[in-house]
Amino acid sequence: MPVKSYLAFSHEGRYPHMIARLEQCDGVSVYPAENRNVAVVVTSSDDESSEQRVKSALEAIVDIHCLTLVFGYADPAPFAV
Amino acid sequence: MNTPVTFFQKYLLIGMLVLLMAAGVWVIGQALHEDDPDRAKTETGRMTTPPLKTTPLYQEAGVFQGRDQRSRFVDLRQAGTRRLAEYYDRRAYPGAPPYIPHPVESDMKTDFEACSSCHENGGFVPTFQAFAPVTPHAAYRNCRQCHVPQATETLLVANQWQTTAPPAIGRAALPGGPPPIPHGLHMRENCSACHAGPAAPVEIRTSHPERLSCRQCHVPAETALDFARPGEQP
Amino acid sequence: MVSRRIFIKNMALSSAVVAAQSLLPGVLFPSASFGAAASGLTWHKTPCRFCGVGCGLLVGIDSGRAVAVKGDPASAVNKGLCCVKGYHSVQALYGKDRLRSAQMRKNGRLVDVPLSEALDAVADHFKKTIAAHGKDSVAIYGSGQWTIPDGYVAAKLFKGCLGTNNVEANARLCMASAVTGFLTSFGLDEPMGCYEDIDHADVFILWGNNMAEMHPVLFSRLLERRQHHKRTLIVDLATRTTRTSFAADKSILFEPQTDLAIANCIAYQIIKDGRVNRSFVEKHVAFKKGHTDIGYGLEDGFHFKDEATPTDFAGYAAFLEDYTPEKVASLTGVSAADLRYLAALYGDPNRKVVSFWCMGMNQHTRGTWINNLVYNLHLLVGKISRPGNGPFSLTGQPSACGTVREVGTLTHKLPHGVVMNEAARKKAAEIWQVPVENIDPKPSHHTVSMFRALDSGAIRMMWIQVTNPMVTMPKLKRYRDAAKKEGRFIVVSDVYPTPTTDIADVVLPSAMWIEREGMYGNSERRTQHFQQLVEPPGEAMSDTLQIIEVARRMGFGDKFPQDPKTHIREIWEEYRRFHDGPKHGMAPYEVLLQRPGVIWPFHEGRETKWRYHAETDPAAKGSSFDFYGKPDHRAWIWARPYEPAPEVPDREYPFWLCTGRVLEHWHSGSMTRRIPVLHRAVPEAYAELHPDDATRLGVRSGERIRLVTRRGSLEMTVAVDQRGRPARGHVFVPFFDEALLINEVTLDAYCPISKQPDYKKCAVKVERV
Repeated sequence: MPVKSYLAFSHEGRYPHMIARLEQCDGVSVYPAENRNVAVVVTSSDDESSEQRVKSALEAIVDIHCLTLVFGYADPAPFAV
Repeated sequence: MNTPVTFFQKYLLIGMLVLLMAAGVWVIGQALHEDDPDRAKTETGRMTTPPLKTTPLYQEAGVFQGRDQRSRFVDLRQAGTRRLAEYYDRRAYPGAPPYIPHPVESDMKTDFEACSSCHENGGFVPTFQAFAPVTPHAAYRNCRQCHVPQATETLLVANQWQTTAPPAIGRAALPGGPPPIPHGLHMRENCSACHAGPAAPVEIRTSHPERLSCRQCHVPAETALDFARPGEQP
Repeated sequence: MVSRRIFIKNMALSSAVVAAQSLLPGVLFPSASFGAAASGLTWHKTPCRFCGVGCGLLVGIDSGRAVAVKGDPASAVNKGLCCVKGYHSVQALYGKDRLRSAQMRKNGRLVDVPLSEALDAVADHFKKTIAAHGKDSVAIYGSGQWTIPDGYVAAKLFKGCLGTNNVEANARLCMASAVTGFLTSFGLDEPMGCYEDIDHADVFILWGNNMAEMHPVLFSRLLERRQHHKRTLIVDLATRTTRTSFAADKSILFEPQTDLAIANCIAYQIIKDGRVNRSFVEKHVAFKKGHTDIGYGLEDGFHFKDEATPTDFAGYAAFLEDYTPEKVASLTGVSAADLRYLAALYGDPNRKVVSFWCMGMNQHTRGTWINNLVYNLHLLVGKISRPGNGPFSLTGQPSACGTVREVGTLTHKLPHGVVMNEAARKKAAEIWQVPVENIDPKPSHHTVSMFRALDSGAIRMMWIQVTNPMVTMPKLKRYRDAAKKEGRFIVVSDVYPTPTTDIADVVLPSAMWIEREGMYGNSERRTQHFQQLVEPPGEAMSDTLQIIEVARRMGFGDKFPQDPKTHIREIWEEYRRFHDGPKHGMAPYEVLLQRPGVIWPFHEGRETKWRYHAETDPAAKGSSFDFYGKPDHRAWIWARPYEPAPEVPDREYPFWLCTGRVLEHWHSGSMTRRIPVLHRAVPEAYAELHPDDATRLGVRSGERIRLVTRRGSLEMTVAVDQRGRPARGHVFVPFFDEALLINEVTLDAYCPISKQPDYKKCAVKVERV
């Protein structure tokens, strides 16, 4: 159950494009800041292979200038309900 | 300026940002600890290698039982490895009584004596190789009324229970300001039970356990509304 | 568990936000990004769904789902504390196999049908059965978990409209002896005091009641009292060593059924010690005796009617001569010193005494008698109806008092008075707007008799709501076979599939607890209202509305004109008319909405916490005690002897078998076993043995034994010194497990006065498997 969060910065002038493309990715939640051109991106996937798919989808977004990993989690839950 | 950035450059930038953040955290930490002469004595070493004792179950090592208040603070500075995710794993919802994750000696008693020997003051329990979490409501004596052990992991029938996310943390109104208390205080009046000491989840452990008057600075968030004069909208 | 994923995502998000804030000071994110802090969590008051303590809860609702529980600090019952069942109660709403749609049996299988079709079929079958077999061939069997409006519309439809007294509830298996005990001693049902007695008392005597597990929140109040008031004493009188025994100051074990002799012995000793409160007894007490050798109800068509014969103090004292401590000690296994100690506690004028009891005294073939005998003790010393002094009968279900006892969903009862009384019938007919001839003046079947009538064919159709008799009836096989007989039609309203829905012809999905509006009434005469807080799943409908829908389909629409939006309020206001006046006045709807429960009698805006004393009860005349329930304004002391249990251990069946509950599970477990933390704590039933018996039989905890009685046999796992320790020669088994139905082997003997079965005593053989 990998969960990661990033800060996403866009190339100059491409911020709205970046947000739009991020919002189209599966398994990705986007939280744009209200007053700066930065967004928090939280990814969550079921296993390593789908995590790889999310990762490549993010790498394919050319509007991203920089994606900073802030938080990473990958530990299978014991018994979840 | 739309020049494509190579992945190497991207990672370089990431690395720089992470360094910058670490530096920022260190600077903030320094600032918070400036007025603290005991900081150097903090025994973080005990966090990773707790002292092994051969005392039996329920005979707790008693790190909190110092005679003078000073040693209490030093002990409160011990850092454990318990995470908030584990803390919430033991509860049906934020605020629910946690189940008992370890075997219990007797099922036949209300168990105040046995439970309180570890959970009243906390400390390292050799039997479980762990720091015992401290109860925030030590006055209640019928522990097993609310806290039950788990005899099995399976379920009779699945449950479609969902709960809300736990309270978000670290939401100070101003940068560096004291965050308000994001949860109810009923049965959780003793802040240091969960926010100080080696059993406190690392994410919510206070950096300044020596300041015992928590609610001098941290106040409950009772309403989401702003002030408004009678008859006016906020 | 808190969803781990939601939690970690929340953590990931907030870490990223903190990082952004340290890089770009002043950056703002919309507050909707932040989990619960910005969510729409709102808190609403409700009584707990489970036991009769009636704790006030605050349930957290977010996005239309119940997500959290906390104790209501404003509730005088629990003052903000719950037990593990209460804290997890809302999870009982979300079991995966919740019944969402009606089901009808077609070709032997239950298949989903639209609710309206099922309601049509139920109404149609009622009409056909009545036409073919008469009005007394149909019955409704409800429970102490019925809300007050559920029970009220059931009584109105069956007693008022259909004209049959075949209305019973599982409280017959749980509270009937308490009711007949109150009626025979005081003439009016329900305790004179309230939970606040705990805050004033010095001595608590628990008669066969494992309060630490069964009424945990009240037991915590006892422990708290002892913390703050050092001379507090808790005495546990029991047949099994439990958590309560360990927490008590003194634990006294006695042989089953001999509580009758113990109570008489205490009375003997009180008189001998000169501790009788003479002025109280002279002014406020009358002495009576009833029939003896009254039978056990084991045979079909059993009938018994008690009669009170007057006697006096001298006659009563002479009757007690048989109960000297020395004689009683050999019968009961309690030492003469302990018996004198108990008498000294009751008799000490400087100690306030509260007696608590529940199933140990009520599920008893002499249940009415033992209730009388404990009242005798309080009456002899005048320790009653005053703060901190009083006998207190606890209940097991959230509305056993509110619905079954106060609304009167028992065969002989009406909301006010009994069917035998003409004035009571007239009053009911007037409020229900039915002809008075509709109400049958003769009671029909009590619960055991009702299921026996299902067997004989006198009853053909039964509607079962909020209860699980195919787990809880004693001598279960007989009654399960009866329900499955050809020509029987069983309708079951429930929230989960159970052994009872398994034998149903129609299953109606019910909206439970906070999925609808309603009221419960707890042990201390406290009526508590709850609003609908969440939507019921699928087509699930409240039991009140199910009954109203069926009544309308049977042509009684004019008697049930309520608007679905305001029907609970309308029903409450109609029901309140029955109880008008200072003896039983109920609070108006608006008051119930505002407060965390209101104790009746509610008269001129005030609760009556202690009845029968002029200082606290507006209905009491004069300046002190007034037991106005009896025509002579006196409470009655009854001379009731010890009589043995119907089936006692012998050479072939050498053990006593006792059944009961555990802290984690409530009744038949259909709700609590679907709550993860509770099921994981106690996943299945077990048989407790004394360590010496286990050694003698050569079994250890975890090994299998077979329990054999004259009714059948059952294999179970042994538990030695785990939750409780039965006395030597005893076996204890909890009854929550539908896979290990202990009631297959229990005996259906009952108290001839209350008709309540005894689940605590029968003879069993234990074999190693």
